[in-house]
Amino acid sequence: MTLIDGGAAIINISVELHGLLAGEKDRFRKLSCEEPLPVSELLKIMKIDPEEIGLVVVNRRVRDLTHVLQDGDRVLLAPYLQGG
Amino acid sequence: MDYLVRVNMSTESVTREKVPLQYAGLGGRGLTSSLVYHEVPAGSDPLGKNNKLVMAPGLLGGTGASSSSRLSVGAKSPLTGGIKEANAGGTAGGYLARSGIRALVIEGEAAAGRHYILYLGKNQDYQLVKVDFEVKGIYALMTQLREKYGDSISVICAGPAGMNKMRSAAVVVSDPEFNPRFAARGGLGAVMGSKGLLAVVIESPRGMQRIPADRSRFIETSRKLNRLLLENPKTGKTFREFGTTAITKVVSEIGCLPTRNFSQGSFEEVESISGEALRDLIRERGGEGCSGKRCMPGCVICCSNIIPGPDGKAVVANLQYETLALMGSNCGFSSLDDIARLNYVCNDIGADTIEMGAALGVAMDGGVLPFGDLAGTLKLLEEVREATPLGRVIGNGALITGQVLGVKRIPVSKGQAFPGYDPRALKGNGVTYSTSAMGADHTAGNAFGDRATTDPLKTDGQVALSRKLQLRAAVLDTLGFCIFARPPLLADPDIMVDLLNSLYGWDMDSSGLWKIGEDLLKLECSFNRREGFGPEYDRLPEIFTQEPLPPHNTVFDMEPQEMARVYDFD
Repeated sequence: MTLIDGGAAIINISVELHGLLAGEKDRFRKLSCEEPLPVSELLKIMKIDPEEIGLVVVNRRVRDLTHVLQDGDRVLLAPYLQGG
Repeated sequence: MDYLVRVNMSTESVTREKVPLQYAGLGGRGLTSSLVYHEVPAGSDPLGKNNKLVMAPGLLGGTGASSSSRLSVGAKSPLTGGIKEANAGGTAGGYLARSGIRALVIEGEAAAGRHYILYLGKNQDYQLVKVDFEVKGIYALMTQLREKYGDSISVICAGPAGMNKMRSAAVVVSDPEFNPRFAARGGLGAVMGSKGLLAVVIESPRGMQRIPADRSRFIETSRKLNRLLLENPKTGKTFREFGTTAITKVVSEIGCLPTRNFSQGSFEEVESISGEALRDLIRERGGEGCSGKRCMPGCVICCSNIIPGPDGKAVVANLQYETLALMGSNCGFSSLDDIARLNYVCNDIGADTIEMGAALGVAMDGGVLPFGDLAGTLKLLEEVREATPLGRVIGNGALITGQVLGVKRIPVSKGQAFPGYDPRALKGNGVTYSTSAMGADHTAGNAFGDRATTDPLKTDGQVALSRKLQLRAAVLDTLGFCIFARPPLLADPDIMVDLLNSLYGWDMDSSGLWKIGEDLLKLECSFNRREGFGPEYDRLPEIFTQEPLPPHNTVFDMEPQEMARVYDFD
């Protein structure tokens, strides 16, 4: 699985890295790939340790790392957080 | 930690007594609720002479264990009519504990028009001092008290909302820099005002320490807790950088952020009030702004912030998630500067920003002013301060505001406003709001932290989740812990057991710890039943079971019969 920027893509995904996951990097990324992929694969490609992930939200629904991403999905990845 | 100090406002007397045996082993919420249960007669007027206002540090208060010196405040609530405990950080919990005061019990009521300051000096120098100045706000009051008593004090006080007996009024505690910290919920500030007690001033117990029965073991466990808090991803870096506002964007994303009087679950301008935006504003403006401050001595979590204005001068400390949600998106405000200013004014009035934000949202829904109208909102808040008729309506909270204005969607449970999680899209919180004796109170059992393991939109598992969360909250509140310390404490409850055993010389195991929580929840429920609030009150308002909440278009559809099993611990 490769993630390509701007190529002949089938799947387009927008990703937001929340809070400390983004660090000083760009929080919002638009990514393209050739076929549907699970969130765990997305993390590998983005070089994010799954241990750092406290929450995966896809199209406003809470999902887990096995959830398979489709074209047009909006993903928010958040670190461990607790309510106020 | 051996004494109760009783203050009778009717007779202007202050007495000290050994803690009765029945309250041995209790602190914080466990002690406030037990005293209220046993000493406030059934049917008492919450703002009358028979109600009692109890203030108690937790069992670990004043020991120096991180995040454990919160002050619990309890009474029969004028907002809910039931039992209430709210707690705050600041210095008062630790000062009382180190002074040997397990609880302050405020009884009776002062003669009409008389207001007092209770001064608690070292060596039992206790004085009830008649107030001879007018109080316009919390910040000026803090300054006046520092001028009179010096800086080696801690303050517990009520603001104009409390002295005018409004149901949104908080009991306010000073932090190490004399910024106000709020035991916000339930209208307990109105109980303080009804007693005629403006402030409690506690002299610093310099040189007085709590001595653990097993000092080396206590210190060893405290150090372990510090290390775990700093290593844990939930309590380490995130709170220092973003404070409680870290979750704002996520709450909106999963669709439970109160927006325009709970008519939506996500806010289209959430980015501008997110934790990231707040962090960036503090960084860019610099000046007096900062994050990573502590509200209690010795706390290693350091979740507090100071919000700077455009000129770098401090506007308010501390702006938290709940205020962003209730006074921000819920009132249609998308400017951090606007919300910070509203937060400052609410603090100065001594009002709970959750109750006030909900009441203002209802007022906006009812056509009193448009959503997002800063000038109009500030004017209304000044009416609350001045206690005009309209100000009294708003200042008495969301339910009274909605009833007066004929608004259909009134976001309350047991008369108390929903905090920053719409229960239709975070159903575990809906169970807590419905069943807790505390009314709609996220600190009684917040399901947000379990969103990844219990689908917040489904009914499955929510009652069991709320049961677990309410039990944990009851235990943490009794020990005096801040709920933000919960990740390592709940991962290894033996830390709490070790701290208690080494401090008191007890031989308790973890089952004993959870038994304290079970007994407390049942006692609080019994109080409410005694006051006439049967199981039929353990419901949300009907509209939340009927009106779908965008974007998920879900309603609160938990079965009441299932929620009735929330305290089936076996």
